[in-house]
Amino acid sequence: MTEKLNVFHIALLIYMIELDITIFSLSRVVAENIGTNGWVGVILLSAAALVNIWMYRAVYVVGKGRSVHEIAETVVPRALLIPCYMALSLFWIAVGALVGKNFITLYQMLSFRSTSEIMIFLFYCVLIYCLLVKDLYSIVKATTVFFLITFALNILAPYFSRDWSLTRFTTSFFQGTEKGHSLAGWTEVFIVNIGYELCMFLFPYVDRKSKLFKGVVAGHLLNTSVQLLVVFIAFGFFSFQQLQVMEYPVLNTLEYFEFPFINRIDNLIYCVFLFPNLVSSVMFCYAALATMRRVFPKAKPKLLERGIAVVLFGAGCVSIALNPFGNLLNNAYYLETILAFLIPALLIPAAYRMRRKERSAGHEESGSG
Amino acid sequence: MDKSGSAEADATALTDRPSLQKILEHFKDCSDMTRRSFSSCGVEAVYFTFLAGNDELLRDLVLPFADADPQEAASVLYRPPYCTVETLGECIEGILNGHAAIFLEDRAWLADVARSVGRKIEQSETETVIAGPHDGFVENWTENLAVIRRRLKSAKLKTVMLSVGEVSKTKVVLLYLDGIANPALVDRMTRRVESIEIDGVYDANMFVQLIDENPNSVFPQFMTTERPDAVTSKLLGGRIACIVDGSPSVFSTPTSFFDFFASPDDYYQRWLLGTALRMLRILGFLITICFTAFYVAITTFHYEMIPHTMLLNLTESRSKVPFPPLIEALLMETTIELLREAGARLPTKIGQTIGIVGGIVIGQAAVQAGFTSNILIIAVATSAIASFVIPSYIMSASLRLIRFGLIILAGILGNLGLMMGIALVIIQLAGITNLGASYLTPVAPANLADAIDTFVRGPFYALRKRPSIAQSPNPVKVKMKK
Amino acid sequence: MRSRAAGKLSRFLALLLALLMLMMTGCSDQRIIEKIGFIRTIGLQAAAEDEGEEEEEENTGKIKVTISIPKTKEQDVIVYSTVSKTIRQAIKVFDLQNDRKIVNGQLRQIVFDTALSRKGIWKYLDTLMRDGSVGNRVHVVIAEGDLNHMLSRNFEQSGPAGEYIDNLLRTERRMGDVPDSNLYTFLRDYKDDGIEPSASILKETGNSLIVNGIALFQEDRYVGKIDAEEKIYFGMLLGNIRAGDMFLDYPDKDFVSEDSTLMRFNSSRKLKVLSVGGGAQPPKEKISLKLTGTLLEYNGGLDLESTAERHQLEDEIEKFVQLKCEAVLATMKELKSDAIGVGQHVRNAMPYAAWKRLDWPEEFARSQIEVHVDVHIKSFGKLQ
Repeated sequence: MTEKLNVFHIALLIYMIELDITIFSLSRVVAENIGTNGWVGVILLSAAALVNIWMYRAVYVVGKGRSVHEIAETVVPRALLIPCYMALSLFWIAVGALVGKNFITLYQMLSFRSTSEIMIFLFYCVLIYCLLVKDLYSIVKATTVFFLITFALNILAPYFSRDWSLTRFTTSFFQGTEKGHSLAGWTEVFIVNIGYELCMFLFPYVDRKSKLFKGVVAGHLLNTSVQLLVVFIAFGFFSFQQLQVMEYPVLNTLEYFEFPFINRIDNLIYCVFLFPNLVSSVMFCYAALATMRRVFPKAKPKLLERGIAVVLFGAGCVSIALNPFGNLLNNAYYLETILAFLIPALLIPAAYRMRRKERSAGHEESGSG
Repeated sequence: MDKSGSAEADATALTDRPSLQKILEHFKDCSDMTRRSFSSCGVEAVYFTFLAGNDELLRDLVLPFADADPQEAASVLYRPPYCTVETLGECIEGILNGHAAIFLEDRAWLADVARSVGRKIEQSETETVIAGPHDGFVENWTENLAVIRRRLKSAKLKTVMLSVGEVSKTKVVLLYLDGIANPALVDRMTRRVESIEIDGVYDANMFVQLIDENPNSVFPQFMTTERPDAVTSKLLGGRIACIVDGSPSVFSTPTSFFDFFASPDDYYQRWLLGTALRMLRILGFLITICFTAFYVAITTFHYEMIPHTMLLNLTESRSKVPFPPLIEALLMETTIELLREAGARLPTKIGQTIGIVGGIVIGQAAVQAGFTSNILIIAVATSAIASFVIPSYIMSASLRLIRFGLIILAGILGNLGLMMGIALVIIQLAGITNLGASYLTPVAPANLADAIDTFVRGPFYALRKRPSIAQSPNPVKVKMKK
Repeated sequence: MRSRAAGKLSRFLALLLALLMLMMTGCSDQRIIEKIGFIRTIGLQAAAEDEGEEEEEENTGKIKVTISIPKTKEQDVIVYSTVSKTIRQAIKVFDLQNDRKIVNGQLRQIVFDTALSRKGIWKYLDTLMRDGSVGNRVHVVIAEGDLNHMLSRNFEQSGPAGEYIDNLLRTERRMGDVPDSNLYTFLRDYKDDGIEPSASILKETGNSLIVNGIALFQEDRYVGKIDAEEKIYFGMLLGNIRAGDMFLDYPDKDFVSEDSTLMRFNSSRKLKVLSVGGGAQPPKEKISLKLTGTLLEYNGGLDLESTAERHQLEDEIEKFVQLKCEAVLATMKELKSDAIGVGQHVRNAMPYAAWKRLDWPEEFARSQIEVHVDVHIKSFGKLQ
């Protein structure tokens, strides 16, 4: 197919990758690490992510739209790249697995406490596999529908207006953190943005008309506004000190709903959040898939996908067995944050190198011709 | 068409000049074939007895040739409606289509003596509308083509005649509007129809399964309809329509999932009403796939979601039921499906009896006997009714099947299972393409102009463009200013 | 082609296998509604010294837990009661007795008796908050009198106590004069350093339950109450009242009127910090109340047909409400319980560090709060 992704779908895709399980604890993490009126910090961190997106744009422009793999391969010898590729792929699969695992363990707080996580995770992996075997366009199409369902939930926000009070925001800024301000603390908030960096794998699917980076920025800003909405509701609905003791404030807000025909919709709505987590997981797996394709260009169709699904399941099982309570996902996201900044920082000079190489090759050609 | 070795010998013979002997040889043992000799002029005629009509025979054979001399007969044969045939193949095809083959000396002619067969045009049983045209397609393709031509009086309406089925030789007619339909899609469709290799095709709904791109999907991928007005609007929308002989269903392509939720009479109502109906159908869609599953999820796992007053009633009516909710729901759903299937097989009058018996048995006795809870009856009945809101029978059958899957998942993993099921359905939908176009248009790829004509039925001044899914080279359809 | 078909088949089989496995595992978490007994109400009392199964055992620090589980017939409840250390321990005991698994996803209220609530109730609420199946709309109620008796009674109004309390509190809350006291608000105000939680007090009467005032807390300890007649004024001071009714019984000395009723009135509160105080200076705040409503009952010396005297009546009501509000504030200051959130506004008027140094309950006790009331009567009913 010759169709290219368009800006609207890119925006939705980026939005859905960024939206994942971390949004549930975001308000607490903000209250713990940024303090009072932490929403300002959310805006600042979103701006930091924008800077990072701008770096990817530089890669795209300098590399003239070549895929990141091509850029890397023109500069670095293949033998050196393959171990890097393998390591990155494994890491991304692990991130995908951890997103799923965290989603499931949190669900078990609500119900299915005694069911084995591995069983539910297996089903999660089946879903990922079903999406992954389709091409990126199908993933994007499914994402659009997932987005519509998830985004529609925002209409529930006005429900809180009765118990929401601006007074609880307090007038001080960035006060009352648990351990003072630290880079680690702010990074813990930043990881809620993680996901936009996967835009580097969209390069082959876009052309000038797609306006890739408009889409990425729009998706990122949309996600930031949803984060702000969540933080705003939480800071006005809960008292600041209360926020710091609640593990997942969003779940507590959802518990508050009461309709004549249905109560306690927290469970149902949490299940709807399967969709964004699925998209996050599948896109990390897709990143791994795109990278593994470079390592095994001649692999049979579906073989790599199957391999990834198996590794995904394995990684999930290992993480469940190792540490059922701990937050491995946060650690993985820290690493991913570093990567998100490191990769374009390495790729921009590489792209320049590639350009110079090409130009000299072009000169030789024109010289000889 | 013929590819096998033995048929190849026939194939060479088919280009021979036709002769009476060869024809008789070809159709030997066809005892319903009539050979008629007119001794006064030496004319020999061959035709299938029951394909020919008495009036046509009288007009084209008996009256001209009964008392004619050879010269007179020859001069008659050079006038219409007789046409000469040069090859044996043509001649055989004509006879199979109900023509009479006429031989005089060493020359052959064909005369159309086929009588019109099949039922008259009448209202479609499966797609009825209150307001709007009441004619429906019939089994005879010529009649169907005529109905469409009568509605689109334009030379731009082009037809491609194809035939499918090595034995059945079923006529398949592709229709499109030149300049509105995308020629690339027409080519693609023609090639796909030509590539079919099968012995016979009996219905359009079967035919579309031979050409769809995702044969394992539960969803129908071509929109079939029995309503000429629907086909006309599809053609004007830049789509390709296709008549299959012997089938009262005509299908159009490319189709999106949401086309199955639109009915032609949406356009005959005021737009606000049309919009309300579209919304109602989408609601019906959600209810039909989720409602029973949701019941199973909350009664099995999520009791905390039920408001207290309802909970006590629900518990009381469930307390006599020996099965877990999953089994209970599956039993009831199966019963409803049995009823529906029985109703479909039986003549209308008996069908009504079935409805009454089923209604009483299921509605009253089952609850009183402690077989099911009455809330489940409401859930099952509501989802059954909701499934009938969907205009396309084929789609509503698919959705009912999906419902069973979701019920099972909800019975295993509660709300999470339900959502996983929905995710699977969406993933499945996202993978489907139809002539290369996305099944989820206009949601993905998103298109606002299409959405106005899909989820709502916008006023006509707002529906300026043809659906993007048809990739029409001439996209504007309404030029009127508001 | 064949290998693809085989692949499809194997995929299908794998899916089927996963389904089967899941089908087996999900069972242990089933909570089929007719096979569970859902707790509607938990009542907690301080265990009496002479109660409990084994007399020798020390009962201090223990609590008496009473739960009520509705039966399928609406009017029946099962009531269990035992002495234990925590709620969980008690539920384990009840589980041994009950024929259905006891779950607490449908819990609607937790009722404390006054004795236990004076010792502090946080640790019991904490247990419930941790449980993912318990919602945060669970009413927190203080009961005066014999809790056990109250919970096991059937009332004319809506049957079992649990149902009745739920309906009663919902109706009262809709008017706005009773604060919404549930797990969410309690935790919120308990954790907030600028406000103290409050809860409704229920008391048994001959054939019904009555909201007998508002419980005031210091941290999580019940320290005193606002009387039932004054809860409307507490409601005004706390926030906005929608469609409240107020009966004004004027004391003779300064008023011309005898009594009147203001119906369906709305009130709005504005709180302004005039001075945050510091050192010897007490903090000063000003609360402005605005009331708009219909007058339906009036006895007294004013002629309501004249506009001037109508204004005089408004002034009288203002004066009366002001007196009552000041009395309520005095009670709260005496108990050092800032249940209306003055502290939140003071906090917002000063730097964070200075606020942290402040001992707000003490400051609240000595703060000077002015009350300004503005009454506007929209109509005087259908008669002139």
